[in-house]
Amino acid sequence: MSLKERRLLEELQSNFPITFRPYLEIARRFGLSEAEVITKTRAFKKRGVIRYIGAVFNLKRLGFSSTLIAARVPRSELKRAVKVINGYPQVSHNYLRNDKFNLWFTVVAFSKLELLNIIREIKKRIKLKNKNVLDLRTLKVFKIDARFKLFTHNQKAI
Amino acid sequence: MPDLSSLPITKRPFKLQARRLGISEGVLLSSLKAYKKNGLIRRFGAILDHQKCGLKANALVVWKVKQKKLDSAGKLMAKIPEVSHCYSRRSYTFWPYNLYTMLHASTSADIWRVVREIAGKIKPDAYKVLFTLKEFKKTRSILR
Repeated sequence: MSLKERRLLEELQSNFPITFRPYLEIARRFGLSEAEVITKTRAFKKRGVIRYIGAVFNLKRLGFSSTLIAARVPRSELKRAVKVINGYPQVSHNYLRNDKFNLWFTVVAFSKLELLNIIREIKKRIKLKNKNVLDLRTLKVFKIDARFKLFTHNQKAI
Repeated sequence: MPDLSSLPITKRPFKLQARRLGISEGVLLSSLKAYKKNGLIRRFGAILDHQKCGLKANALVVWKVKQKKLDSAGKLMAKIPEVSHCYSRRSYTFWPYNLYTMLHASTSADIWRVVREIAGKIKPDAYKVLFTLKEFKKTRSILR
């Protein structure tokens, strides 16, 4: 990726204008035309570099309940467990990690009750014993910032 | 429920969503700005795929830190650019880790370098580096 492309991506992720013509505003900042910025942005989306453009909500403030679950699933049952877990639209992420607790997934629900019901149901459906499940409820948030650094120190933008 | 579909990449990207919501573009824009200001919207813009941006190594690092050091450790970790998420979480006798960080870097060697740097500063009782081996599901979550 060229330095120019990275600068544009950085702008799209960190300084996206909430205005009638956001791409025109970005174009002005870069001395490009609106059409050029739109074309480049579409290309990023097509390549999958950009996954989404829009708002990231603070779900807790919107009243949602969420948690991180770590489960210890035997290798032989992994495929089925993943299928069951991924079947829930409330499960947003599900990763395999290198630990005896090998399956790590996040659940987001409209209420605490819904959250607890889903966890109970998953445990039952994949026959997980309590000792093989960790419900890692958040106690305090120190940082949430999934913006990615696109510059190394010696090629800082501007 | 807020509209969660990705904005179209057009000259007037907010126009379609405003129409869908049955409000004017101006009202949508001022609402979004207000939500951003009051924190209901954490941020607004493009969400990137970190793998495709060259960050191939991703790990969840779990730390066991003494309760009285938890706050200062969390704040220190939050300042590190490779750390995208840092939370304290419920722990268990058989799983004593109380601080959790998500780390992203180009290589696993870079992850280890950052982990050692953090460990040197906060002097945890224990920690584990849990690399992401496989992504079974990753929705553009409404969670973040």
